Amino acid sequence: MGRRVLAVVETGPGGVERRSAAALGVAQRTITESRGEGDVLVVGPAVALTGRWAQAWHVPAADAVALAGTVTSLAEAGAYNLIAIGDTPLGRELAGRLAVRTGFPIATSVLGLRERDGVLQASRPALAGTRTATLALRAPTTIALVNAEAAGDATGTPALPEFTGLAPVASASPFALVQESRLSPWEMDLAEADVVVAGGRGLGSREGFDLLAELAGLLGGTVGASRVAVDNGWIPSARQVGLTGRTVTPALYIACGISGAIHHTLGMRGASFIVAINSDARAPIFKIANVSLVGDVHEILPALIADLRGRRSSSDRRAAVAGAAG
Amino acid sequence: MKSVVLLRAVADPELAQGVWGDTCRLDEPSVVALSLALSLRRAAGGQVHGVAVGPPEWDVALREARAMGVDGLTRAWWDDLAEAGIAATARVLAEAIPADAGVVFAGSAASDHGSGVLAAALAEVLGWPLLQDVTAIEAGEGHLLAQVRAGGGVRQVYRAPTPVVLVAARMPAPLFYPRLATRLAARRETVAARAVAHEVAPGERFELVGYGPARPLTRQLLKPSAAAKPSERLRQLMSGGMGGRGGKTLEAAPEGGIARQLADLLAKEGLVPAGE
Repeated sequence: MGRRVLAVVETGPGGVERRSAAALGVAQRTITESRGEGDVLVVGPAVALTGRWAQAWHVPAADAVALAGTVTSLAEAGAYNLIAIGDTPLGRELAGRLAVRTGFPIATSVLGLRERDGVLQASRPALAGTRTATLALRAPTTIALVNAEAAGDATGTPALPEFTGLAPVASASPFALVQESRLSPWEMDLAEADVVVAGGRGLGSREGFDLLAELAGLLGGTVGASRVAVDNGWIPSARQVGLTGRTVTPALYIACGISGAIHHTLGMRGASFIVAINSDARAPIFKIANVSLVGDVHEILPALIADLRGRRSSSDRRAAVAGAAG
Repeated sequence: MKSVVLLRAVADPELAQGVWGDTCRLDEPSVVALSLALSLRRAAGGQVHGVAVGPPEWDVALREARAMGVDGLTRAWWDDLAEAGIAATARVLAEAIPADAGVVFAGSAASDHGSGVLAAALAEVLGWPLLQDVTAIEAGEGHLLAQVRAGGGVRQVYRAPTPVVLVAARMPAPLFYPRLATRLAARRETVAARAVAHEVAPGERFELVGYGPARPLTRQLLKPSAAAKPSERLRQLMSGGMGGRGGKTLEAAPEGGIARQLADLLAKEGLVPAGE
């Protein structure tokens, strides 16, 4: 059965946003497997996309309320079987508002879609992530909020589709920005940080934390520490992560020279992505890390900082070019 | 101003071993939302009302919220809601929200199988605006000042009108230590059960086909030696690089090679900008 798919994709100066790319890939796979066709709505700059799209629209920017109106109109006209949206803050608000407006059911945290005996099936995490559930999507139209880890079909050489510009969605946000500040790593509280760069005994001295602060500043995060570092007086106790310190749940936790005693890991194991750097290959921290580096933090961190500085300046250049073009 | 906090309970088998033999507790994101609501009440007065859509088994957890400081509780339920869609649940919640409420606080996403979409659906049903990633709240002159985590180390403060739906950022739940007497008193309280109007259709349901194993955690070891035997390389990759698991461990490559690999991996995860 040929399915009609609408992919809603957020883009930025660097191209398709990562979490939206997963939605694009899942949409492409559904189109390929069902021998259907798909349209795409790009929110942000018109960029090159993988896949073949019958129609491509773009709006420069939008808030979720206005975007929900646009997508509702497209959905009514397009008779889609699937509306794939990336799991971003904008995507979540859009999906929720769209579900109420249209009455379409939402499959959330979708890890993959596949055709089975003419029925579209979605897999998603279940039972607190200990299992994966498979659901049959029998509704005529389903909204899929696609997990960033979803397996898709985003292959092929990106090409610029023939975009149809939709009228810029008026941003009627009722929220007025009254203050914006970029916090230094030492100003940011551990609890509100998206990125925590933490150090332990392996740093060897108070000066080692200057390196951590430099890395945290580049990543827009803050600095944490293990109990040993606090006991040695290298960093204030307010920065301690662990059983007798703070509990953190950042998107990225970089443990530098931390062995990973249970006392410490109890405070950081809720992090989404853990990087561990330790010279001891048998350090327990490696058991819970997503990325394990065996090496000296004093060699790895300066190289990492230099690399990230290079990426940041090239990213800033791309943004400036996109801004000038836009 | 009256605030409403959306509450959710999750099963916790470990609690069954405790003194009271409870089976569920408040979900952490709900506790974060509750702490925001209570901070607003401390600053500006008013009341905090807890609202939940869940079965009667949740009452024991909702009473914990009472001990933490909410002024009243409402739980709405109807058996057909067990597998209701998000839009249907949002409609039931909207009915249970007091008419004089000025702000609804919601957690980021339920920790068992949440997606963070319900608050947006509720905002749509109520016709209210929605602000996400809120880390702190203050009362201004006829408005609220909401502190928002904007990513990249940027903190923003927005002037928010009321009524409004505020979604708390993903943060560790603060610890509440209600006095024992308060907890005991809360355990005797009745949670107002609200009948759901049956015209609220449960919405389209998905048919559960089955369960499979969870997707394995992504693990990377930087980096297996090219000189190692294929079996050793595979073992290193599969083990995630644990020295204690018998796999050969490798030292950092010279001249920043390993750092470049790490930066590439972080870029692939969308955690740092991509390179040229």
